[in-house]
Amino acid sequence: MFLRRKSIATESDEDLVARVRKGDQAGLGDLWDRYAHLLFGVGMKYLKDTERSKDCVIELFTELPALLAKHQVERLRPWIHTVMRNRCLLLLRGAKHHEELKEDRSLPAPVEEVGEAQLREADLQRLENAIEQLNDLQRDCIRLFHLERLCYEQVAQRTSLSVEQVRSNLQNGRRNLRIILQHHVDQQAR
Amino acid sequence: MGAATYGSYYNTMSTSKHDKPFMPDHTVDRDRLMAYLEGRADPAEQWDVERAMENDPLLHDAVEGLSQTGALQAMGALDNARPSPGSNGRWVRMTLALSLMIVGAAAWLVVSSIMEEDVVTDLGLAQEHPATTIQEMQPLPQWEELEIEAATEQPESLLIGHQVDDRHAEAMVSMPMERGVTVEPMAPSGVEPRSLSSETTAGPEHLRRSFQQVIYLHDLKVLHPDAMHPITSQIVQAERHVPARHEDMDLRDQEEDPMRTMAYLPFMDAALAKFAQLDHKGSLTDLLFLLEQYPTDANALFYAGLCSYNLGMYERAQQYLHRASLHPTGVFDQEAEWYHALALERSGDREAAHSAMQHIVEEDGFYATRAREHLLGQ
Repeated sequence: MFLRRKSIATESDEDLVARVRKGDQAGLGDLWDRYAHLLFGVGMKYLKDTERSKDCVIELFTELPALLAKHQVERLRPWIHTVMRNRCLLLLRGAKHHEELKEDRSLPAPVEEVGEAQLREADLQRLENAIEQLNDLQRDCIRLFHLERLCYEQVAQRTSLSVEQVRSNLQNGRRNLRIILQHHVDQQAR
Repeated sequence: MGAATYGSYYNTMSTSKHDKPFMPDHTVDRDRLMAYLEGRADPAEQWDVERAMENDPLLHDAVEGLSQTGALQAMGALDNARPSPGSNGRWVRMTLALSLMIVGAAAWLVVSSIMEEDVVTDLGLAQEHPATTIQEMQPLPQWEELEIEAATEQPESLLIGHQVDDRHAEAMVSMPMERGVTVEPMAPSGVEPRSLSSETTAGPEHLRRSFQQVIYLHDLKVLHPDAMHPITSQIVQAERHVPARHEDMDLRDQEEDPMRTMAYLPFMDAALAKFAQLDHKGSLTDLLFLLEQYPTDANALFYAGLCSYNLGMYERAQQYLHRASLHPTGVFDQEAEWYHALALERSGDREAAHSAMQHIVEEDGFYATRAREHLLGQ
């Protein structure tokens, strides 16, 4: 009756969304298995409170069938992340109930960051050219992590940086790579 | 750092899917994520999770949040709220049950403290505090998937709780219930809170009621829910704890699902009907559902303990029966203590069982003779 069901879902998010839209509770359960713990983590990041985070996840899933019926969701993962994050932020701001619903209904589709597609599709040769244009720390972190496949801690040991500095350099390096690659695409288009 | 440094990468990966190192190619399942967060992952596994984090903002945020103190421990409670497959409306009821469980436990704490305070101040009696109270005990372990379904009914010769001369089966009043029937308070039956003498007649109204409202369903003793749950005696009462935004959905579910508004006694009646018919799995499933909402419910604790025992789950039985034996109303104190001792014995803890039996003999209560005979037979 209340026992936890192990996630056995192998269907795509899109298939599960379609099932939920048809009123399939099992599909909702599979989505829960796939996302509830992640969304709870998102809640913890913003709310820093286990009860509020838990309530927020439960509320989101309670309303998920209705939300999916109203929204044309092409990619569930970024969409549900945005919904959860927005709800947390609204809670932090003390938003009232109706404002929260309004926010959900008018939620825009997540926009992929400029250059992300180029970064993902970039082959090694193009990446090497772009990586060479990064500053030393970003270049080292990007190479060690993405090319040599060292984990954060190992990269930190190799570079004498802290794990947080490694993550920061990876994030900034990634952003710069996107810009570089997008700039290259723009130049070619001219 | 030159390109030669990455020779090993190029050699091993040049023809693999990692020709595009920033291409997301997988998600991290919960088990691997937990291993990472709990520090059980080796460097290669760590990298696997971290690479996914770099490509997945949701996972990135989640790891950040789940790394906070207490987050992983709190995820167990989150699992209880998972939507149940194949039952429209049931999941909403589950989420409400979770809220009710918390509120119910808080209400019980308040009521218990008021009861204790009233006894001491109004009656001038020293309250006998048990070494451990239900509220102080750790939450009961969660049930695993299919744990009840996989359990085996014990042979009838080994079953407990079904003898007509058991203390909880003294059929003073037999009152078969029908759904929707309103139950009127029953006449006093002599069941007392464990700390009060039988001469006591004065006291707070809610405390007197607690030992007046014992009824029998299927010849099985039941403490009237009003004596335990003064706030409500409904199974899942949606109106009390649901955010305003859910009101329409609740009304819909309420129409579709009569369980939402089922009163306590009809629900307990159905659970005990299954118990009386030796359907311990069915009975236990119902009782566990009730315990979600009323974690300290004496009736559910006691009969869940009997069911667990009769399904061969002796450690579970110990947990429920121990709590039932400590219930402040004392409604099942002697029988719960007796069956708890039997459960200890069946689970192999003979020393603890022997000690518990000796205590029952010393108390010279209802089960003293059985305990004495049991000890002699050992």
